[in-house]
Amino acid sequence: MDTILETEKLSKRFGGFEAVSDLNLRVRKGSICAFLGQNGAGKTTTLRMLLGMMRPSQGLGRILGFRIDDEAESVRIRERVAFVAEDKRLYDYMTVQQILRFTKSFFSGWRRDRESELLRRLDLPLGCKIRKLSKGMRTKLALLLAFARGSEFFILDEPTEGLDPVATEMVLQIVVSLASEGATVFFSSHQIAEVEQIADHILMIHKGKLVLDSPLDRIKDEYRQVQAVIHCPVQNRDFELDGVERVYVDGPTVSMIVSHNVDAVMDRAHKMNAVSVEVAPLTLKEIFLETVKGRP
Amino acid sequence: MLLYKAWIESRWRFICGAVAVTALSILFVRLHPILIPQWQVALQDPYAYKPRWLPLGVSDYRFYIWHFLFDFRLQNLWVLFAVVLGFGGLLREHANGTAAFSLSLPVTRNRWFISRVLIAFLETTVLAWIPAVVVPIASVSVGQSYSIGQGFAHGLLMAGVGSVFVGLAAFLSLILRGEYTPLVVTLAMLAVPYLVLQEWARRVSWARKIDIAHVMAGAWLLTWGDVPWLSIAMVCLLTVLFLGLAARQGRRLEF
Repeated sequence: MDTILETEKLSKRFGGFEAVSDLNLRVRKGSICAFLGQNGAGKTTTLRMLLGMMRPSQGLGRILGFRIDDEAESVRIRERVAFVAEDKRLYDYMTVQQILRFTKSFFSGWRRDRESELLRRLDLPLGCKIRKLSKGMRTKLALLLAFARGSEFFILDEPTEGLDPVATEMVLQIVVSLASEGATVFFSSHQIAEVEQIADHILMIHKGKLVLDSPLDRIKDEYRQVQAVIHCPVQNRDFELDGVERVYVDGPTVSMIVSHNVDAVMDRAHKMNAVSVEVAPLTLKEIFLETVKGRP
Repeated sequence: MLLYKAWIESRWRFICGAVAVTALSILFVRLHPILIPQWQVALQDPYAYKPRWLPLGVSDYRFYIWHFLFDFRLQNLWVLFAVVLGFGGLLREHANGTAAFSLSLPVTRNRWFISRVLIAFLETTVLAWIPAVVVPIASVSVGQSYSIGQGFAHGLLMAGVGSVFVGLAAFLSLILRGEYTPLVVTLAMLAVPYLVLQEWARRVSWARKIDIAHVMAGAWLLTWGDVPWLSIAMVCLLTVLFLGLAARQGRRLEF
């Protein structure tokens, strides 16, 4: 099975508000897939549906072949999937040792070696009550409890939020090592630099709808900003071509965000007697901003 | 491990309850030699207020213990802790932010619910049995004796019938959102029958059959023949109804 997660027209409505709409996701086995979107775009709602915390209003979802909307199958999913929630709150009445003992009892493939290694690397005090841990330490503990499960699929909601740069780097290295061991990672993040560092596939969601689904390499190779200077009058519709995502006209200067088909765009500019045509690569941050900006 | 978690979560509430129940039991045992001479004087005073139970209360130590503990103060305190121990669960976890972690574990919502309610039942049963041990021991210090068997029997009746309060608290905990809202609402709901209706129910004979507090207390000398089986069956049905509704609601909740 090549696909570890797939959804088909997955939707979630809260009254009249559609938080997630007809979402078709596909995550390949062994990949590190980033799930991007603005606050309120529907990322957390989607993740919660995948883990059985919410029921979809419509549509289907499967993880490892198990249906997300069936309680018994959802338990099978959670046996094999590690999830770290956005707020990373844990039972504050337990000590670090107690929550480790509690969590490992549910996972037959618990990685004791990874537990010991992470306890050492993340410097977590075993006897300390969770309520006395700082936010960063709680985040580290939540990640440890997920990473040591021995799961084949990791769903992480903002995994590095609240961590200092050193801890962030350590977590990113661990994520990469998980993938190198064959695990699949699906994570949401607002830290575009981190996404660029570790992800190999990008899924972008905006107002509950999927707006980008592509390997990161292809995005970086194909997304371009094309800037042309054309002295004759130009309108946006002159560049309504396949692959043109955005057109900005400012006097004689036409700027375009192009997702593919750059040659055809350049041809069109030349045919309109452009005096200059420049093509520049875009960073993932720029692509993200351009993709979500001004969309209905 | 779910039982372990439920125990760790509620143990301080349980310990507070155990301390309170022990203290109250000892208090009423120690008050006996102080109150009895006063009541004896009152019994001989033609103008003094004399409740109907007073002669028996003066003459029989077992009645005194039953009246003040199993039929009154201890029962009130026990119900308070039954509600405190019964409340909680996934909705409360949602309010304090831990529901996502719990629900990421491979456990059905029914298993979460059953483990928590089971621990609450065990804890409330132990609370009900503490006086069965404490009262006979403390009674020696005031020159009296009390049967451990009677204490356990009254404790079992109180915990068995009173399980309806655990069920009610568990049900409301899955209906009302907020970390402490279900606790406050349950206590407010129980305050009405306890503070207002109970006195009325004790004066009206037919109302006694539906007075849960009366059923929990039982007869002052409890024998197999005195056990109110029909009332117990009705209360147990009510408990099962609350638990069934709570489990159903727990499965429907979204987090």
